[in-house]
Amino acid sequence: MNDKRFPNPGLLCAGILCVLVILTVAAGCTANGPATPAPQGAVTLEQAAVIAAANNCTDSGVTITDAVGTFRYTTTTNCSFTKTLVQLNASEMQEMKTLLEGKNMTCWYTKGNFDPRLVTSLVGGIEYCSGDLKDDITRLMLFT
Amino acid sequence: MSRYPRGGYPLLARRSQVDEEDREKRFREICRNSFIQDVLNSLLVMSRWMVGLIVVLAFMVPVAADNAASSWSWNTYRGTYLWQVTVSEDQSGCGGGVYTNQYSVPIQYRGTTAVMGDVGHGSAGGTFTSGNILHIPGRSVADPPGSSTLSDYDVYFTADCTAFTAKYTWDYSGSDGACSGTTTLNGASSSGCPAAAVTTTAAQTTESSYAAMLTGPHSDLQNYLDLCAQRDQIDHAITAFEAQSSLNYRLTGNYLPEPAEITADRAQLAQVRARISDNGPEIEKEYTAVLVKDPNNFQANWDMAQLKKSEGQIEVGIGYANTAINNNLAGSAAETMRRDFADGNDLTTYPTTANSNVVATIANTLPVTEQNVYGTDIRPSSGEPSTLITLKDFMMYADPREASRAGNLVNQAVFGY
Repeated sequence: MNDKRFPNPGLLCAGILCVLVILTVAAGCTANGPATPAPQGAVTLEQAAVIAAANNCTDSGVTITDAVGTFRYTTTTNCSFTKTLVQLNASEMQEMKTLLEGKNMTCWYTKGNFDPRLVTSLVGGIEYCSGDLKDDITRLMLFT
Repeated sequence: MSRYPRGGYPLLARRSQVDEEDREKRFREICRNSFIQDVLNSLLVMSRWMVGLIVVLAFMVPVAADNAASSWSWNTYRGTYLWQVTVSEDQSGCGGGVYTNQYSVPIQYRGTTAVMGDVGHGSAGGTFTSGNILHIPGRSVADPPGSSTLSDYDVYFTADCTAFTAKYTWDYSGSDGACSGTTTLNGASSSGCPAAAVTTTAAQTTESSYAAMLTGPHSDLQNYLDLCAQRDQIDHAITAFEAQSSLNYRLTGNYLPEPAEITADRAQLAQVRARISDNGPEIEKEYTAVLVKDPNNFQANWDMAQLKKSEGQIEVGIGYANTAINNNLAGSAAETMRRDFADGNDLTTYPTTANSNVVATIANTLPVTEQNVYGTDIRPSSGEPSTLITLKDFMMYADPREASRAGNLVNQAVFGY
């Protein structure tokens, strides 16, 4: 006998909803601590991973290329975050490459209060950082 | 006793006596007349000298007056003076013609330095190389869609304050090509020399004395900012350890044993904080002493901004920064800092939003989204000149030690101290 059983539509919807809620909560716990301000603009998966590692003050090192160039982000268990400009994009003037490539800045924060703009932006959050890269970026503000 | 015998030669003796008296009288008269003549002669000579002196003085007074007029030196004046400037730009090398425009241009005279208002290529600061010759250094300026490199030049002021002349060359380069040309400036004024030369000299002396008063606290501020940086670093190391220890407590029920370096850090932090507590108010008192007398003083306000920023009083710091920037600086200050940065890093071409992706990214970020610094809204007020906004952005984001160094640079370049 072909005894076909169709699932109850109400139970099916409730199940899907539960799965979505669990996934959302899990993603939130993984990516950002509760005190993390929402990053501005789109955040890539790589950036989200760096932000999460920084917020949790874990050791990590990730290299990401964006519209400006290639950056190396390292986080430590001491809640310090270092942003190194590895390479500017090919379209940048050579003198700026010579000036900025290889420079870095280190930022200090408390656990769960990492400013995600340090990963998503060139300027946001650097007021709490120090280093050659920060000094040059602030000086370049004068040319804008 | 008489020399004559008693009763002998009486007539002869009497005559002789009369003659002698006459002679004596005449002699005395001659002597008297001679004396009067000498006196008269002397008076005559003196009167000739007096006439000569009067004649000489009559010639000298106008000469002295002329000298007073021709001795006007703009490098002793402090104040703003408005000129009517005819600007002739020769663009024949760029396929154009000679274009002439007239502008009312203020020049801010600041003793040995001056800032010329915009005559087509932005305002420019310079230094007097003599009483009436102002030297403007060469610079690069944005000239959309490209940029222009301007030569250095001298501005020659006439001593009667009615005119000045200047000429510089420029080299343009951009996506639409490259070419060169010249710009000639002819300034005119019928207002005459400012009347406040004496009082402004006094004001200059006062400002010099303020500059002397600020040398000590400015040096102390550098040490103070180093201490603040040290405090923040040690404080963070301790906070990071405490966070780890708290996490361990939540996981295991036990706090982590404190390492020796953290214990040492705590002791050092206490010392550093004590020094900051002692030094901060002292430095502030010295700056306040100047600000009471000169509320707009650039260096005192700029340095107070850094002091307050390092104390976490951001709003107060912004207030001082605004006073320092808006009441003192023209675009030339930003230009001075730009040039210093470019020269210090061997940048032969100024980075602009047109030729540098990094600068364009910063420019796109700053005015649009990044309004909050230290949680404070630093959006510019309406009508605030863009050159000053860039200075404020720099002041807010830059490390206080870097900002203090830059402030010192501007102070020297713009005010000559």
